[in-house]
Parts: sequence; C-alpha cells; structure tokens
Amino acid sequence: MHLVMGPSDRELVARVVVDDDRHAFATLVRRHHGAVRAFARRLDAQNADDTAQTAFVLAWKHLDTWRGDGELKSWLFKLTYRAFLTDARRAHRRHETVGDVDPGSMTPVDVTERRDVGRALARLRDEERAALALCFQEGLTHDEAARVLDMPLGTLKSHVARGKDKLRALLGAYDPDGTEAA
Amino acid sequence: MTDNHDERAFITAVLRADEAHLDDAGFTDRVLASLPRPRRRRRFTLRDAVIAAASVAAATAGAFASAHAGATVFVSVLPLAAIAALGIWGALASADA
Repeated sequence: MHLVMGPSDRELVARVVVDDDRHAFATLVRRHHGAVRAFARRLDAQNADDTAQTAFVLAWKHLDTWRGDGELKSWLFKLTYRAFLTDARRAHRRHETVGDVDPGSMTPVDVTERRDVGRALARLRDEERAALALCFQEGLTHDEAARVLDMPLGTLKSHVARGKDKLRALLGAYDPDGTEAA
Repeated sequence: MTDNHDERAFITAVLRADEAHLDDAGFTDRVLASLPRPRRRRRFTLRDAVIAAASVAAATAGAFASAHAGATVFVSVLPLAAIAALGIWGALASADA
C-alpha cells in the first residue's frame, strides 16, 4: 500500500491553481519524479530527464485542467507520453526505429547485463514499450493505460500482447531473478 | 512458463530488474527553474478604489457642469466634457484592472 505523507495531491494541486504556490508544486515534483522519470526512461533513455522535465512544466501550466477523477500520477504519465511524442516527431526519431517485426524472426540479444535488457526494450515499438511499462512496471490496469496513451482499449491490449511476445523472443534465455544460472 | 501468471511475472521482473532507483539529484530544482513566471493577478487595491471613486466623482461633476452650462457656450462646454470623459475613462480603467 502506498502511503502519502503530508498533504494529498488534490490539496497541493488546489494550492498551485489558486495561489501559484511553487512550494506545493515542488512537493508534487518530489513525490512523483521517480515514477515519471522511470517511465520516460522506458520511452527514451537518452532524453528521459528532458522529457520528464517538459512533462512537469506542462503540468504546471495546465494543472487547472486536471479533473481529479483519476490519480495525478496517471495524468503525469499522459503528459510525459505526449512530451515524448512531440520530441520524437520533432527529431524524426520514429523513422529510425525498427519497424514491426515478427517476434519469431528476432535474434535474442545478449542479456547478461542490465543494459542489454534496455537494448532489448529499445527494439520494441514506442507504443509497445509504453504499454508494457505502464501495465507491468507501474502497475496500471489496461483501462488506465489506454487512457494515458490515448488509445482504444483493444489497441492497448494488442500492443501489450505484441510487446510481450517480442520481449520473450528477445530475452528467451534471460532469468531476471538469476535463479536459473545457479 | 506459458500461463498468464508466469508471463506477467516474467515481464514484470524484466522491467523491474532494469529499473534503477532515481535520486532527485537536482531534478526538482531544474524543473522549478524552468517554470514560467507566475501569472500576474491584479487585485482591487485601496489605491484602485480611490482612483475609481475620484474618477466617478469627476465624471459626475463634469456631467452636472455640462448640464448647468446648458451647452450654450461651446468654449465652456468643451473642457467640461473633457473632464467628464477623463473621469469615465479613469473609472473604466480602474474597474478593468
């Protein structure tokens, strides 16, 4: 269970919206930067902090539009994904990513180190990586993840399934717990 | 390793094994430094109230003076009308601020 010490997100947001309270906003940033930056790292490890920073600046500007009907963290993920897409389009990075590949034809990567897991993840499509990160790393439901990524539920599920298949093909021999090697 | 539970456990373990703990390391400060300046919110101060009251008084006086002069002498009406206009302008400006 996740316990929040101090004022709730909702109270802090109200202070920011009504009084432009930067201390309240700083508390929100400190509270959520870990999850937001971890998600940004999944999307683009090289520019993760810039993406996360852009997301928080967007949050500051548009905090009055947060409806409060879901978790603030989910809304921050949404802004992070949007910031990532904007940067990616600007840099035409999407043209450089690997196209849709049949999982069966993928050559497993050497996953002896953490960075190799990162390399395997980098071979997934942006949407697949984002969907896996939200559903498996951040623990969002499919519904929540679909809302964050602004896509229909069925599409989200397809990305999750395809991403899982690819990851399993790429990391076939990988044992994340290190138990099989023992 | 083929059922859904194992599949989920595998993917979660893969993603979390690669997850590094992220210290703040100045991140919050950088975010705060990059925020736009606070939105200016003008409040109706005592100074604004005095200006508004004076402007309304000037406008009223101007209107009465104009009526009294009867608009018969152009030379006397013109400055009075100007005073009234200035008063109205001041009142509107204060109210808008």
